This record gives sequence, C-alpha cells and structure tokens, in this order.
Amino acid sequence: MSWPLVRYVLTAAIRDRLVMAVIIALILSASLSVFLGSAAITEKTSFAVVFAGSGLRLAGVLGLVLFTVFFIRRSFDARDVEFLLSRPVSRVEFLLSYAAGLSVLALGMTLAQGLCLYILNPQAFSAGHIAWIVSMAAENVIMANTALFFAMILSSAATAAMAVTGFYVLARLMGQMLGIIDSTGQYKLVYQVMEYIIQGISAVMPRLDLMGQTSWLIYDFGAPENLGAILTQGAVFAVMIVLASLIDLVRRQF
Amino acid sequence: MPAVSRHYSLYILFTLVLALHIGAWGQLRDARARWINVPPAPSEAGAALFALGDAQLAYRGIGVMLQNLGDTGGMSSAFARYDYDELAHWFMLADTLDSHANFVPFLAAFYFGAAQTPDKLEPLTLYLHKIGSRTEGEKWRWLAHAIYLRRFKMNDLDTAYQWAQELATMDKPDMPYWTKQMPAFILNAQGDKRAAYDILVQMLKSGKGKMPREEVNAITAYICDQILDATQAANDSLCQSRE
Repeated sequence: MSWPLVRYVLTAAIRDRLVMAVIIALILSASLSVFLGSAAITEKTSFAVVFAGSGLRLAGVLGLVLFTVFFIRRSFDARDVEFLLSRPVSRVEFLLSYAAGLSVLALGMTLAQGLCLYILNPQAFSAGHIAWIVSMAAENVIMANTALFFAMILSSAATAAMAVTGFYVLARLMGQMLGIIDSTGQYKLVYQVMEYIIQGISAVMPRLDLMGQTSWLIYDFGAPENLGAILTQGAVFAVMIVLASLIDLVRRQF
Repeated sequence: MPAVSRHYSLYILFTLVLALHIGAWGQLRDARARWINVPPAPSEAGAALFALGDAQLAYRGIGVMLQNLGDTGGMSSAFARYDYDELAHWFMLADTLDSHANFVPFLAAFYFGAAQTPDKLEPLTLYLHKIGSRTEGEKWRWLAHAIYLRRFKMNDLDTAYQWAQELATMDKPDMPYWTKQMPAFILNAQGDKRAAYDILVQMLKSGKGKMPREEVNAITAYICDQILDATQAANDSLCQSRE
C-alpha cells in the first residue's frame, strides 16, 4: 500500500468539497429530523432520533457513493490512473491504496454521523448507539468500496452511481425478501426457480438491513447478540469487493 | 441589428405562453387533491420495504402519516368520515413493526378515540384491548382506556365489564389499586359522568411521574372539555390548575 496515494484520495475529497458538503448534509438531516420529531404529538425524542438515524445514514451513503464514483471516473477520463500507474506503483498497490483511502473517508463519515446522534440526545447514549455506530462504519466501508468496484467496471459515472444505488436498495431489502420466501411456500416450479435465484443473489450480498437498526437508538436493549456475525459478514464482503475490483484492474488493458 | 428586435416574435410568443400559464393557474388556484379516506394498510413486509427494510423507521413514518391523515394542505376531515376498520388495520400493522412504542396507542386512545360517532369505535377498542392485555411496562393503561371507551362512549356494559375483570385479574403487582376496583366502577350506579370522571382522575393520579406530559395533558383536556361542562370545569380544581 502506498501512503502518498491514500493521501491523494483524501486530498481529492477535500478538494471536491466532500467534507463541507457532508457537514452541511448531516446538519440539515439532523435539523430536519428534530423539526419532524417535534411535530409528533408524543414520543418526540424517539421520532427525532429515528428520523435522524435514517437521514444521517442515507446522507452519508449518498455522499460517499457519489464522491467515489465521480472521483474514480474522472481519474480514468483525465488519465490520472494511467499516469499514476506509470510511476513505480504496482496495480495491486494502487488499488489497495485507493480502497484504504476511501475506507478512511467512510470511517470519518461514521464518526461525524455518530457525533450528530450524540449531540441530538446525549443523555440517551447507550450500548445500542455504539452498536449503531460500529455497524454504520461497516456499512460505509462496504458502500465506499462497492462504489469503487462499480466505478472501475462501468465506464459511465451516472450508470455506476445508479448501479451502486440499486445495489444498496437491494442489500437493504434482502432480509425482507428472504422473509417473504420463508413465509410463503410456493409449489409452482417457476416460483421455486425465482426463490433459488433470490437466495443465490442474497448469498453474495451484504445484509445491510441488519446494520444501523434505528430501534437500537431508542430502546436500550444493549448490543445486539448477532452483531459479531453481522460485522464479520460485512468485513468478508468488503474484502471480496476489493478483490473483485483488483481482478478487474489487473486484467485491464490500458 | 439589435438582438431585441431580431428576436421580437420570440419575445411575443414567450409573453403569450406566460399569459396562458397564468390563465391556467387561475383555473387551478382553488383545486385540491381530494382525500379519499384511509388508504388500505400494506402488509408488514410491504411497510418495511417502503422504509428500506428499517422496521422502526416504517413505524415512525406510519405514525406521522396517521397523525396527519385527512388534515393536510389546509383541509380537515371529521372523524365521522374516517374508515375506522381500515384505521385499525394500520394500528395492527404498526404494532407488528414496533410493539414497545406507545405512540400509535396514544393516537388511537386520545385522538381517534375522540370521535363523536361511538358506533365506529369498536375496531379501535379491540386494538387497545390487544395492546393493553400485555404485561409489559404500563401497557395496561391502554386496556383501561379501551374499557372507558366501551363503557362511557359506546355504552357497551357487557364488554366493558368483561375487560374490567381482565384488568382487575391481571398478574401485575405494580398496578394501582383502582384497577382492581374497575369492575365496580363499570357497574357504578352513580351516573356515567361521575364514574367516567373518577376513572380518568384515578388514571392521572396513579400515572404521576410515569406518564409522558402529553398524555397527562390529553387526559386533563378530556376531563375538562368533554366530561365536564363549562360551569363544572370552571369549578373543578384539576381544570383550574391546567395551563
């Protein structure tokens, strides 16, 4: 891994005003949540915290994905990648450095999200909040590296951004889809085939629906029992998607 | 040639289209989307899909939707117009998404329960009965409300008495003593108003420090605005002390 390349990614984030945009988005999300929460006739704090948790999550993921996709595509279009690879940096080193830089950005984003939640209701900060922040760190790292993967394999920034958004929605809904499959016994062959297809897709998707659950923020049940398994699967997926990007890069003809 | 005179016809066309648009705006100025009553409730999976798999967010989203149902864009709708059967489906759906929260039971008891058409309240009281039959926390208060609505708004003495027996025999040592007396309250012969007043005042007293401020305000408003008339409220110490 090359530290100057990691720094290059972080510098690009500052240059693209990602940090400023994210700060503004997080403040807006939190403020809007407080406003919406105060409109509820009771349990105002619960409403504000749940809306803030969901809003911060979405704002963070969108910020990371859009920055990553447009940064990578611009690097290819401006021939930055070719220039950097002409230097004494191997392709493996190049990609791992980019992945590390984006992961550092994702962790920074998580810290900002956690800080916003803490400021909203410091008295209620509990083990559930820590579980939320830790799992959001995993989700942000996964999404930043997934955006890197799609930006590497698709030549259009808009297409890559849409593909990552589709991936995110699917990963968030996968638990519901598996639940529907488990609760309905379909005996027609066509439905069984469709169920197998969904199960096959779910086997290579991260379970983002299990991460950052907003009920952890309002009910002090302690850290969820399966948090370790959730984080392990997330870590394995992050490594897998970085390896997939790496395979694409080493096979690429410049 | 100056640009303005060169594109003279374009400016005239733009002005005409602008005038046409303002004319269309005038036609639509007072048009409003018509509220077609409570929409059908989706399944639990459908509701969670709507919130990208986050059940808690789905619960809070449904809560805000129910709170503002029929009262958006400057419109307001009488409770008599609401489809309470469909409302109860939404309440049940919300319960499957989060069975710990008290927001939707609060809405059902104090907001939708204020309907002046008692015949519509049956599905709502069945929902409150279901929630209130749980031994978790202070959930029994929703059963007490269901009994109240059955007895004093719907005049359904039999069901109210049966549920009062359930409340009185609930295995929960920390419930206040008046819940044990609920069957007697229901059969009380001293008049509906007096008995209703006594039950709600007991709820307020026993819930002190346990009930959220909004719920205390809602019960107080109920006593002072609905059970007592203006003269009685003016002489009642509880109503006098209200902010």
